[in-house]
Amino acid sequence: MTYKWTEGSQRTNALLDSDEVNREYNNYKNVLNGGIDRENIPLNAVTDLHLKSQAFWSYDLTRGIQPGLSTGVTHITYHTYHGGWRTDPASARTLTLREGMLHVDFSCWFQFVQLHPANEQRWCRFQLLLDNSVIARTGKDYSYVGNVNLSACVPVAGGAHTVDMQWQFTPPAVATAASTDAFFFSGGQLLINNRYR
Amino acid sequence: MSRIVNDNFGPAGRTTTAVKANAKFTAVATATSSLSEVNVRHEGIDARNLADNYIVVKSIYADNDNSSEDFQYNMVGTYGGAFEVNHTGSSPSAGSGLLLDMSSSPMVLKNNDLLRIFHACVLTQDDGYGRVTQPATDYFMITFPVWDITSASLSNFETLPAHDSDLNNAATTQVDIDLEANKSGGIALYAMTGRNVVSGTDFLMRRNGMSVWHYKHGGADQTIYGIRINANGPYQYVQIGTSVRGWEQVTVSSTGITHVKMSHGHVGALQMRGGQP
Repeated sequence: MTYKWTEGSQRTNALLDSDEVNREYNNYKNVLNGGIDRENIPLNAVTDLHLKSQAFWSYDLTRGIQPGLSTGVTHITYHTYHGGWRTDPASARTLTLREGMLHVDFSCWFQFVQLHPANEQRWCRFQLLLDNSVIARTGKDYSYVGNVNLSACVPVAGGAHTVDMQWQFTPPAVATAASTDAFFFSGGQLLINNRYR
Repeated sequence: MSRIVNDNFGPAGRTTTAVKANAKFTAVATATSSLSEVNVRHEGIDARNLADNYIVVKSIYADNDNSSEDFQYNMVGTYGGAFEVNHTGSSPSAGSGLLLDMSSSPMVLKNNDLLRIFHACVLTQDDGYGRVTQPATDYFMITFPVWDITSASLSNFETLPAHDSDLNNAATTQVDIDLEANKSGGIALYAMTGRNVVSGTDFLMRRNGMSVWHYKHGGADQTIYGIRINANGPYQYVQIGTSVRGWEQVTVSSTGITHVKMSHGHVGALQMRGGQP
């Protein structure tokens, strides 16, 4: 041990009185009973094998996210969707977090049938929310297939917090049949990293 | 718990005995054999005490040197099939491509490790080899990560867990998508149509695809020798059954595009430890 004790070593003294032993022994005892710190521990000595899980950070991973409004892997139709932001149940995560930084990362691909008429160009977009506040949002994507990668790092207080992913798709035009395949996304993965050290 | 709980000698002024002294130091020996968090001062460990990479165990990255001439894939009148997104120029050397070569220092995933593989690429229609003018034909290409967990020779790249193995099939195949064995996370899609807004005028189709694959490893150690980005297509999105969607291979000629370039790509992998729920 490289620690320099504040008391003199009893090995250099003749031990005549129990008080001398007590004083010098208690110095060792106090260090071992909760006083070990960076001075006692060698450089690079603490590896991941010595660390408890979630000593510095914790993560929550949800995979296989796709729209809750679709059946199986079929498209959302205008029978069940008429526009506006929708929260996907699979991506709504309520977690007990510790004070620090929160890194939220969402990735998926999407597909829909794009239409020709200039007055009915379809689009989709996605956003991430922390406690109902938007922390990241895509623009409108008019491509019939594409990818979404949303990532945000925000400070977070300790306690329970909710992270949601929401999506939005073009509302139906007047002449659009309700049964029309509208929109689908899949391969959704939501990673929530809480870093507190 | 490894606290020392013995009492002082006493009363004051008396000479100690060897028996009592030995008892005290036996207590020290016992305590130091099982040090735990009760022995360490609150916030007593500094960054210098921590071994390197205690959260990020391994990270690795590769790109294609930002050259627009890289990764050319000539799709001449055939179906597609999986192919490596390789470099065709001189710098970096041909064949390196979007490859994370860990053969000399493999990544070893332990139980509960988090692996993140992110990649992005730009798909460009090679101007002069045909163009697409029908926005409603939803053809697309894909790129996706594969790994070699067999040997350091990097000759056996295979699809990631829960991806359809047909994803990496060099022959003409259909890729299934469901919510069980055929998930589709981490795959990037590139639309292959654009709109020729002025009849007879050339246009350049250019699509950016990107994706991240997150994976929590469970079970025995898993050695990864290499990670590579492969591509496949052209595909068309189809309904296969009541519970299965898929990407159906279409002929290159039907897309109207015979040459594409995969460029401006990069791939990175991050192995993180210690944050498991």
